[in-house]
Amino acid sequence: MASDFPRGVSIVGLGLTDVGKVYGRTPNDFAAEAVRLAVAEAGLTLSDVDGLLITDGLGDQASIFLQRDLNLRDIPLMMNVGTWGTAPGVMLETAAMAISTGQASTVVCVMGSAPMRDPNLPAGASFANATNSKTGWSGMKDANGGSPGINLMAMMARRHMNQYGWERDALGHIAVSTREWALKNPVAQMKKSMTMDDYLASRWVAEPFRVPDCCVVTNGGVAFVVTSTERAKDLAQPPVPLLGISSVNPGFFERRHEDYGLVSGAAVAGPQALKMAGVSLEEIDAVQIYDCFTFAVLITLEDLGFAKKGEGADFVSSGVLGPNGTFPLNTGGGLLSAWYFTGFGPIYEAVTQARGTAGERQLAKSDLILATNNGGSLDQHTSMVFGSSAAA
Amino acid sequence: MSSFIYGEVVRDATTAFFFDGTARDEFAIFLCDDCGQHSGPQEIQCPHCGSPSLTPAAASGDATLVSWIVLHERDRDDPAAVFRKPVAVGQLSEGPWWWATLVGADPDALREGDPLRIDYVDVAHGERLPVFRPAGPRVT
Repeated sequence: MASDFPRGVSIVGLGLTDVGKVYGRTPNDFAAEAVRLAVAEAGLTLSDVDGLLITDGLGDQASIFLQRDLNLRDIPLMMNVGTWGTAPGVMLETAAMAISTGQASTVVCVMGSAPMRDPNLPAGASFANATNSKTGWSGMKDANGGSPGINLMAMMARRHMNQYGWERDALGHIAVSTREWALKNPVAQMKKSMTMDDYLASRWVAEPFRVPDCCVVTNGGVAFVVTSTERAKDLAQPPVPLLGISSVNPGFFERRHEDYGLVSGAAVAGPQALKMAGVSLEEIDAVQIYDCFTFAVLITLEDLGFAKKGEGADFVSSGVLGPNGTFPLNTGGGLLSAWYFTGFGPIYEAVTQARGTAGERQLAKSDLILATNNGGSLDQHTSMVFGSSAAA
Repeated sequence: MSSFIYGEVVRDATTAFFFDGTARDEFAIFLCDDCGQHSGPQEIQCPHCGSPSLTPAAASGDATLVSWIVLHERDRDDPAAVFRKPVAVGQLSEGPWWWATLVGADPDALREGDPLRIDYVDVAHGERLPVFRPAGPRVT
């Protein structure tokens, strides 16, 4: 891929509905509201939109019927991107390509999700109900403990622990520091502080993971608008340019693989995205990592190069994380403590920080932000580098 | 002792040969007609050479522990109690990896490389399922 591929494309609008235990609305209802919010925030109208990229939510699926719901007619770009956690990164990559080639000029990327249908069911059970099946190989996988996602990632975490010899309590430093950031984000679902003692007293779900090692479960919708940076200069928000993006999909899919649980796609995609952006790791001001589970943060920090392979646990335990630390990571409270719309979380927070509108949690310097998306159990990966408006 | 809970699995056209095997305590894998290597029963082509020409073969049932998790699940007979249920990825002696519940093991004494053996459990309203059991002392 040409190293200057995404230049000239910016995120110019964000939309986020009410998130959390919001009942009685369909994924498309949430998604349509998120699109309207994002388009309006950008200073655009729906009639400006000529690209709509959708990704499935959980439970009742958001779908390409969203085009009909929004009454968008004759648009040249419309598709459902189905790469799970990396879908938002892939949508951004697709939007950038479409804008670069002239296929579309204003692309909205959106997700609506409503895995929680019953207020009387625990969130985790709702999530599992939305993903489990009984029939054939997928039923076999579920019966054998191969789902839900927590089991897949916990299995990888254990292999990493065995290989590199670290204690599972290291994951607590990620959960606790991310919660500290969430307390500075007014829309984060988790409102209660959590100490390391709280973490260690929390309930096990699938050892080595406890409840706080898992992301929250969210009903709601989120969207962002992508257009050319040239056009962005006339719009309502400071544009946040995409400086580099790389997708590398290892595709373990739970089969035998020597790198299973030990290396993620970030090991290749991270350096590629940085190279495309023309920046070094040392220049990065903040990192927004896809934290479906705490372990995903640990392994991605290693693969991006912030810690040596096998030393991620030492890095996260060294006191550098959290609002009082020296390493700004998942500053919005992440998927662990804020809200979970797959890879939208890291992108949304990267844009918010790059704009300088993160309120109480705003970093003093946020000119270059590295964000990642993972899909499946580290089967897919997308790394992205965003610049500040000054770089646009 | 707490009885583990197993999900019911319903057979379909792609899994019928596998569950025909488990019904007679046989674990079916595939042997590639072209390269002669083994692959898991859920493959649609050989992961080694790409050939779609696969023939079912019975695995030996021997495996070694690759990784594991310990699920905390509600006891079926005592909903207030929680029991710890290990789930393992084992490498079959023929090569493929397989996920299954690990029965009869101390979850705190597991080590990578522990020898395992495939066994089977009957599940009400579902197919007979393969599980792993510890197969004696670890070979170091």
